[in-house]
Formats: sequence, structure tokens, C-alpha cells
Amino acid sequence: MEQKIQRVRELYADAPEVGRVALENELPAFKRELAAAPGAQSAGRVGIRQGNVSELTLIAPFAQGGAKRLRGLLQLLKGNFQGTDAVGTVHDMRFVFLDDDTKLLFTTAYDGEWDTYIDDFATKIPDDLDLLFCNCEGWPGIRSASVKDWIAEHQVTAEGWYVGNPNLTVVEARRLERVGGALDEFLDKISD
Amino acid sequence: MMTQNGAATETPATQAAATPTVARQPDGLGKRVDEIAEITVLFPVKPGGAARFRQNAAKIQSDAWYYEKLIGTVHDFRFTFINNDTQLIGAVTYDGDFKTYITDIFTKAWAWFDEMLMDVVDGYPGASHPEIAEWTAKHIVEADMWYASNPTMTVQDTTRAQKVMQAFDTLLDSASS
Repeated sequence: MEQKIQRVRELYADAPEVGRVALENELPAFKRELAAAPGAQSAGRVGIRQGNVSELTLIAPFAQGGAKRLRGLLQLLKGNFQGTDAVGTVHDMRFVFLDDDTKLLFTTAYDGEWDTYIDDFATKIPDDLDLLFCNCEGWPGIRSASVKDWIAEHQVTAEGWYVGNPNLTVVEARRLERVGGALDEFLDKISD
Repeated sequence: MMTQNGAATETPATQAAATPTVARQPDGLGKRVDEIAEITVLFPVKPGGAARFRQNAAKIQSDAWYYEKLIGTVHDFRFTFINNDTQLIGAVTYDGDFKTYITDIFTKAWAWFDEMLMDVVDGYPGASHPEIAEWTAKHIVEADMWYASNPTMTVQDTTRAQKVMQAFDTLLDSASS
């Protein structure tokens, strides 16, 4: 942040005096703004990241019969996919059927870099991924060398991305959940 | 339940009880697991609308920190243009009930929504329009699968636990100094 402030000072060094005075007056507010608004960074090959949390938005046409198969599977699972817990870096994810069941929308919020995220899925729950995405046109299989190209081709980078706690990973959030639980227990005990 | 190798297996009753249940919001649209809910919208975009949004994107992103903190229940939120900029996807992960959230966003962050969507989304009536909630609901597409890694942790719970951790760290530092 200090570098950015120095840069603004340099930019305004030859500004008219009113501008230089205004900059000094505005610096406290300016610092707050810089601190509050971390810039979006690239998440890697596709997508953007705020702090530690990245976004992936993917749209792919369904293969013949794919929408029916996937909907049937998701109904059996009651809309849940707890196997994802095993990946350990996924904050949230959803599947949405678009345009009269002709396209699948997949969105997720995850920790860290794009490549690592795809590798994690491929290593930890490969068959789950194939069960889901084999219903999309051209899915090469999670073990295929071209799977990252397929994902990148169907992914669309968000224009705006906000994360409530951008520096919090899934693992840290789980730790905080235990801290919150322990605090409640402690407060209950001392109020007895 | 899915196993590591993807095969469907019989789930013991104890595990089934521990698995969070995904259900439709009791008071509106979108799926929810424990405290965490999703809304996904698909808006039609006016010709040139995406370009107008992009021109303003830096300010929209910067304003997000102010307005989302004001709302206080949003875990994450994105806008993505698709189909050659003819449609706009909005996907949010938030805490609690549908109606409370919809009322909150259009009363607390109406100026931000107008900044993002006016002259961008076809038919957008403005966040102060009396039927903005009904208009929004017409564009919601509900998820068929919804997963949240910490479904009982609201944004408020997380903030509280972070403060406790910081206080605890300070205490340990003081004790060891």
C-alpha cells in the first residue's frame, strides 16, 4: 500500500497546488479505500481471485440424454454432493440447468490456483467428476491429458467477484467453526 | 453417498443423519443447506450492455466492499456475461432466509444494483421499484445441486470466531512475553 501511496504522490508532484493539498487531505480516506478493496487477481489459467478465494464459472452443452441422466443422479443424491468434502479446498459449488435443459452451469468458489484445484479434483474424487461431467458434450474424462483444455474452453471469467472473507481458506474456516463451538460451550459453562 | 471411487453405496443411518440436507428455501427460491443458501439469476442483456458494465467494472468492484459489508450476509458473489454478452449470470452464496436477503440487498445496496444493472440488463426496473423482488424472482434459476463446505457458519459466525482467535493469540503473546 505504501508503494501505491508513493506512486500517487509522484503522480501529483507536478499537479497544481490545490491538487497537491487535496491529495494530502484525502490520504487517510485513500488509505482506507486501498486497504478495503484488495484487487482481483488472476486465478491462473482462467478465472479471478480475491485474496485466497477464486471463482470458476463453467457452461457446457449437455450431451444427448445427459440432462436427464444428471438430473436423475442429483435427485437420488437429494441435491447434495458431500463427496466434495474430500477435496478440502471447495467453499461452495452448484449445478444449474439452463436454457430448457440444454446447458449445464457449474459455479464454484475455491482456494488458491486453478491448476492445483483441477489436480485436486482429479486426484481425490476422479470418478465423481466423471459421473457428473460425462453428461456434457465432449467431456474427455478427468484422467485425460486434455481435460484442462476442455475446462478452460468452457469456463467464463467473472466480470465482478466479491468474497466476504477473502483470506480465509476452507481449512481455516473449519478450524474457526470449532473455535466458535468451543467458545459457546465455554460461555454456557461459565453462565451456569 | 459417493465413495472415493465414485460407486454408490449403502449409507449407514448414522452417516445419513450427519449429512446436511439440501432443500428449497422455505420462504422463496433457491437451495439451502443449513444456514447457507444460493441464488442464481440469468438476466437478458441489452445490446451494448456488457460494454457499459465493463467500462464501470473497476468502480463496481470497489463499491462491492462497501455495499456487501453493509448487507453483511454474503459469502461470495459474481457476475459473469455469457452467450456473446447476451446474458448475465449472477451467483450468490448468502446466509439465512430468501425474503430477508432480497429485502436487504434492495434497501441497503439499491444504489449499487442500479449502478451495475441500469442500462445493462433488459427490463431492469430499478432497485427502488415496488416490484423489484417479483422481477428478480422471475429470473432465478434454481440449482439442482448445492454444496457448502461449512454449512453452519454464517458470515457473522466467522467474523466472531476470527475475533476470538485474534484475542486468544494476543493473550498467548502476552502470557509468553
